[in-house]
Amino acid sequence: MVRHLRAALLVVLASSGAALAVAQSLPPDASYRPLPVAPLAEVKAADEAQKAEVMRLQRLLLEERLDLSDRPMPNAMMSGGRKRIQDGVRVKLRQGTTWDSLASLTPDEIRNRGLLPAGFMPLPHVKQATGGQVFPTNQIDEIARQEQRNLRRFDVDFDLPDLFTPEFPPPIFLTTHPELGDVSRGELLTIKNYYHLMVGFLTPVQLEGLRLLLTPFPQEEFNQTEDRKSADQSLGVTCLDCHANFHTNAAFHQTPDVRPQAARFRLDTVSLRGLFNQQIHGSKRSLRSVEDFTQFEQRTAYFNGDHVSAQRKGVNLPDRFDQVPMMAQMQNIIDFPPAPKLLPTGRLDPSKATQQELAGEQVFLGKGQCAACHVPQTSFLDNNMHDLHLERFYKIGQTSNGLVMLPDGPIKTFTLRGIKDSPPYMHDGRLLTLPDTVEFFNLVLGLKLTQPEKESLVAYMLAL
Amino acid sequence: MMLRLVPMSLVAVVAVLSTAAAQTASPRGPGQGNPAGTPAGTREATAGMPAPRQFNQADRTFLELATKGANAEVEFAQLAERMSRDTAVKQFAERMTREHQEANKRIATFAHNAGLPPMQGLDPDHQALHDRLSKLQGAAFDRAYVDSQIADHQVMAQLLEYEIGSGQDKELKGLAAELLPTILDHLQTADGVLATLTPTVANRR
Repeated sequence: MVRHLRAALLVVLASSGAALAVAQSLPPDASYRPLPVAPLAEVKAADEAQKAEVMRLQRLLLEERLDLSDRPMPNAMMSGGRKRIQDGVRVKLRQGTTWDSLASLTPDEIRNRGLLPAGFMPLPHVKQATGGQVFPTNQIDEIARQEQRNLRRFDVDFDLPDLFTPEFPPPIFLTTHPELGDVSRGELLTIKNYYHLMVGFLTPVQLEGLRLLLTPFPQEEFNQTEDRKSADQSLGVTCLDCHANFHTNAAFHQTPDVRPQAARFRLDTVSLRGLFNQQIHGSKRSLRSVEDFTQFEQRTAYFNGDHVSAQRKGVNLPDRFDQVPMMAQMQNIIDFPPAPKLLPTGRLDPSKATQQELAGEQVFLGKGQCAACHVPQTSFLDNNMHDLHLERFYKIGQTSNGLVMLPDGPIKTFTLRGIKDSPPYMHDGRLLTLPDTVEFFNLVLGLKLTQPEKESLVAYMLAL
Repeated sequence: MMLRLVPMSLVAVVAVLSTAAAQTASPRGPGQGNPAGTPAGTREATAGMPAPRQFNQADRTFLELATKGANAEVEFAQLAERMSRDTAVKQFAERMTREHQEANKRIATFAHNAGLPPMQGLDPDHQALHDRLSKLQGAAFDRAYVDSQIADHQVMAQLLEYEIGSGQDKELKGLAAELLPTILDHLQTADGVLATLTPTVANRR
């Protein structure tokens, strides 16, 4: 009897608690990708009709936020020597402010007066409501030429000017053959050419890993179903379609880790150079091995965090004990580009560095606080995630071209080795140049750097 | 029952104002939707662009849930204004009454335009919560009310984001985008009120 009473009491408590905790449930398609409700032909016609306006709005947004003009640094090229590095702070200030006046205000003052430059705020996907992978034109054209595979979308184009993306195709440096330098021969690695380019340079295990990384598999926007954004039934996407030559071509997507769709922030493709020293993977997921990452991205049709929808399009489940380690071993031999001014400790060699670079290193290690996370000794990583709390500086919940701008929360520390090769910057590519990143952290960390200190930091980062 | 059907003249005025606003496209807004969520038979204003007041399933789901949530906000706030003796709680409740009543009118206009049936009283979940809150007093009431407000505003914030991303009607998405910063501010305010009710080491001054 006592037991019955206790059970009844528990039910009462549980039901009253439930009523308090769960007032209302959200719709399932706030989490799950919905099925299309219209035939592909109609969706495609509407998407194509919208496209000009979609691109116009994003261009307007970029121009409001950023100076997109061609202003390269003199005598500064990316590692392959084929593309110039863009200079200058490109984020536009709000009217009536200067970088110094802004830096003298508190975060509260900046937020309450709406003075945070819009270019510092989260960058929307070119079409936020649809999202998905978007490739730059050079990648689309080269894959079409070599493989006759279509990476072009009918609803959107790549939105950033080519000036602010990495050189293409990027050089490839191997940890197993530092003496050879760039082994790409100026080619983009594809399923068609990898074997003749790499046999004799790689082990059989590495070659098989490379083959898998270059094999297309269904992706949410590139597949055979009506839920796709390629005009033809697509063979899919490969790992290296974004991580071109194991670096990045600035292809972008949205974070798989956030819902609903409007809150999913943009993701700029990260370089795989130096992956061997990286202990956590994914901007938000903190996956503990590249094996986990490699396997799991095949599970959710590349970065949508939705295994349910991916299942319908044909998931690829590489064998964990055989195929995944081969893919991982291939990724783990990709080196950073040479940095001849760096010592084995990650510090500058005073006999080779300029006075400005050395001054920049001092700022990096001291007043700039950069080395608190970007530790020189460990490839400028700390294998942690950190929250910059940018939301101290702006009112959250504003919508910008479909993206609801919310606190980013903790984001993985990215390496600064070879950073000159990897524009645009930050996890979503919101910043176009290295001088932009200096102004960003000057404000966010309250550093109050002088102009010579800022310039020395840029010079230092070019040497990394 | 807080939802009152607004006079048709007001409906017309709001519709005209909203249409005028929608004509000046700006990157500061919800942007274009995914046509994969546009149901068959949707009229278009121009090629690819759904005409105003053409609601998709997400719009309707949003309107139904937002109406329930918005009604409850005001009902609960009025209860708190009567029941609470805590200054911070009363001030919060007064703000909820004031600001949600205004939003409710606008949501009701869209619900009417979407042809949703008018909602009578609280939905069962909120009614059960209301019944439970009505039996509490003093600090227990304050804590339960503010807890429920935090949960409701968390849901409402996600719901507004859902509409911004998945909805179709440009004006309704615009309303969701306009309301979201305020709802997040309410949530932060409710968190602050909760901190005054439950002093902990973390918020000790």
